[in-house]
Amino acid sequence: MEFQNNQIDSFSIPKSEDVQFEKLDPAYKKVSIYITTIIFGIILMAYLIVGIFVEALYQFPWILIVVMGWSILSGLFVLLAMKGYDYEGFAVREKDILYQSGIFFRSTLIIPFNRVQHCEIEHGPIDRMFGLAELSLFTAGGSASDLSIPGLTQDKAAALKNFITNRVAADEEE
Amino acid sequence: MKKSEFDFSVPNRQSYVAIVMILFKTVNIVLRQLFPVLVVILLGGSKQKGDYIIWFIVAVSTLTMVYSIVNFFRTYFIVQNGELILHTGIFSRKKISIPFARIQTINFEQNIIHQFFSVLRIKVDTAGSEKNEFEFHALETAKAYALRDLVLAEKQTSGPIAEDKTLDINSLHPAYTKIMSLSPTDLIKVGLTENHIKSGGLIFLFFFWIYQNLQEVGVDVDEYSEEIPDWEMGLYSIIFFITVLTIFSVIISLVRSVVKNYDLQFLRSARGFKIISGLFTKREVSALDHKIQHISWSDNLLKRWIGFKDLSLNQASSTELNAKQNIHIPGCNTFHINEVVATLFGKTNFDHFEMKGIDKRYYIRFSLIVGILILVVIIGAFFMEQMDKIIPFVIIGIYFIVTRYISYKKKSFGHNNELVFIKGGVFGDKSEVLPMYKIQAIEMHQSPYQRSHLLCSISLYTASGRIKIPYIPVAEGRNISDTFIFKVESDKRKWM
Repeated sequence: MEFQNNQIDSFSIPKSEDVQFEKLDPAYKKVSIYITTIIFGIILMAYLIVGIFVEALYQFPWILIVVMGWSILSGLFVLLAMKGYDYEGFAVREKDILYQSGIFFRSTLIIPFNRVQHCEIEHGPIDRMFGLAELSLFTAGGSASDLSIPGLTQDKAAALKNFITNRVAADEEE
Repeated sequence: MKKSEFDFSVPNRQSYVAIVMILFKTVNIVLRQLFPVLVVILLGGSKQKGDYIIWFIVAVSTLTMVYSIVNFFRTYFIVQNGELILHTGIFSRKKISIPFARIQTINFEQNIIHQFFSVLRIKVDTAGSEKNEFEFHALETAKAYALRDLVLAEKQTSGPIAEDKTLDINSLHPAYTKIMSLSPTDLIKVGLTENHIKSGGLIFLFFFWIYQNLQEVGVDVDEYSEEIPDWEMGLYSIIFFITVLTIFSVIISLVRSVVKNYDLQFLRSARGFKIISGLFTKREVSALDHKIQHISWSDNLLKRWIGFKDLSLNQASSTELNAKQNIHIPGCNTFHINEVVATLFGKTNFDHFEMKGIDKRYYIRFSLIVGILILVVIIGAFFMEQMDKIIPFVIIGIYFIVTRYISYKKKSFGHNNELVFIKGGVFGDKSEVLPMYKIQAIEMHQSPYQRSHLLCSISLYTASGRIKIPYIPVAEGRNISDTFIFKVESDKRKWM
C-alpha cells in the first residue's frame, strides 16, 4: 500500500460550525404532540380500567395525586415535544450528513457517506396520516452510531435516501 | 490453487459429534441451574419446592435438546459463488447467505470433548446484523481449516486488501512468525497481577447468588447463620476476613488466568494476527490487519511494577459488548506493543504527539454533585439520628472523587495526520490508538453545564465501539471533529 501523508492546510478543512441546519417538516411537530398525547392517554385509560377493579384508585387521596401528577407530566412532555422540534435539524453536505437534537443535552452527529452500510425508510401509521417518513442510516458494528431522521416528507425521505445510496455506491466504485 | 480435499459445493453437515456437544451442553445447563437446589437437598432443606423446580428445568432443557438435535439434521451449508449459504430451521426453513467479503473472522474453539473427537467449534462472525452470524457446535478439524482457508483465499483475491508482494497468495497455510508467547513463569506472573479486586467481587457475588437461590427455594439461611456463634467483629476478625478474601481472590484470578492463557501464543501471519491459548478449551482467534479498528493497552499497579501490559486488538463486531471478538493479549511488554503498532500503523513514536489535557470541570462538576449527595445523606442521617451509618457513604464518595481527579489528571489526547492517541486510566495507565480513517461517525455532546462553560464531549464511533474525549473546549471539539471527518472523507482506504 502506498503510504500517504499529505500536509493539510487547516483553513481548507470544511467547518461543521458554518453549516445551516434544515428544520424537520412542521407536521412533525404535530406528530410528536399527538404521539405524546396518545401515550399519556393510554396511561390514563389503563389507570381508569384498573380502577374499576381496585376501588381505592378512584378514592380521595389517590385520584387527586394521580390526576395532578398526570396533568403536570403530560403537560411537560407535550411542551418538550413542541420545544424539541426547534432544536432538531439535519444538514446534508457533499460527503456527509449532520443531525442535531436535544433541548437540554444537545448533540450533533456527523456520519460520512463512505461509512454508511445501508439506509432505510420507515413510516408508522401516524407518520402516514401526515405524509411523513423516517430515514435511518446504519453503520457497521454497534447501533450506537446509527442515525434516524424523523419528520421528513415522504418525497424528501425518498430523495435523500436516493442521494445517499448513490453517494455510497459512488464511493465504493472509486 | 490447490483443490482442497473437501467439496463444499454440495450440502455439508456438521460432524455427528455435534449431537454429543448438544447433550453435553444440556447437561451442563441443567447442572448449573440445579446447583442451588442440589445444595439445598444436600443441606436437607425443604425438598418439595425444589422438586417442582427440578422437573421444570429438566423438562425445558429436554425440549430444547430435542429441538437442537432435530435442528442438527435439518442444518447444512454450501459454498456457492463466493457465498457461504446456510440452511437451517425445523418448522420455518431459513436460508442465510453470507458473501465471503462480509465475513469478519472465523474463530475456532476446542474443549476437551472436541479434542477427543478431533472436531472444532466454529464461529463465523460478520459485522452486520446478528442474524447473519452462526456457529457450528462441531466440525471436523480438517474440514474447518479447509473452509477457513477457502474463505480467506477468496477474500484475498477479491478484496482490495493491502498485499505484501512477496507473499504467495495461493499458499493455503500462511506461515506464522511468533511475536510472543507466555512462558510458565510469565503465565504465573500474569495471573498474579490480575485485577484481584474483580475476583474478590466475583466471590462476593457468588455467595450472594447462592444465598438468594437458597432463599428462593425456601431455605432460611439466616436460621443457619444463627447457629454460628456470634463473631466479635473486632479488629482481628476484620483482618482475618480481609486476609482470607485476599488469598481467595488471588487464587481465583490466578486459576482463571492460567485456564484462559495457558500456552498462549501470539502469532503474526502475512496479513494478520492470530492468538491461541487455553488449558481445557483451546481457543484460536484471528484478526486480519484491515479488520482491526483500534488497539489499546493498559496495565494496573501490579503489572506496571513488572512491566506487563494487556494489549487489545479490537475488531469490527456486530454487538458492541461482544468482547470475545476483541483479542486480548496479556503479558506484553513495550517492545511487543511497539512491534504491533509498527506493523499496523508504521513506525510511530507517541512521545512526539502533542498531547492535550481535558478541562478541570470534568472533576469539579462531578465532585460537586457527589459532595452534595454526601451532604444530603449526612443531613438526613443527622435528623434521623443515624450518624454512625454514614461512614461507608463518605468513604465511597471520597473514593469516587479521588478516582475522578486521577482520571482527569491522566486523561489526554493528541493526533498526527494519521492516528488519534488517547491516554487515560485511574490506577493503571491506558492508551488507545485509533487510525482516523477507521472512524465511522463523530458526535458532539453538550450538557447545559458544559454549554454554559463553552465545553463539549466528543464521541468517536468505530465499528469496534466508541472512544470518548470528555470535557474539552467547544472550539477544540469542533476543530478535531472537522479534522477527523475531513480525514475520513478524503481517505480511500478500505476500513473494514
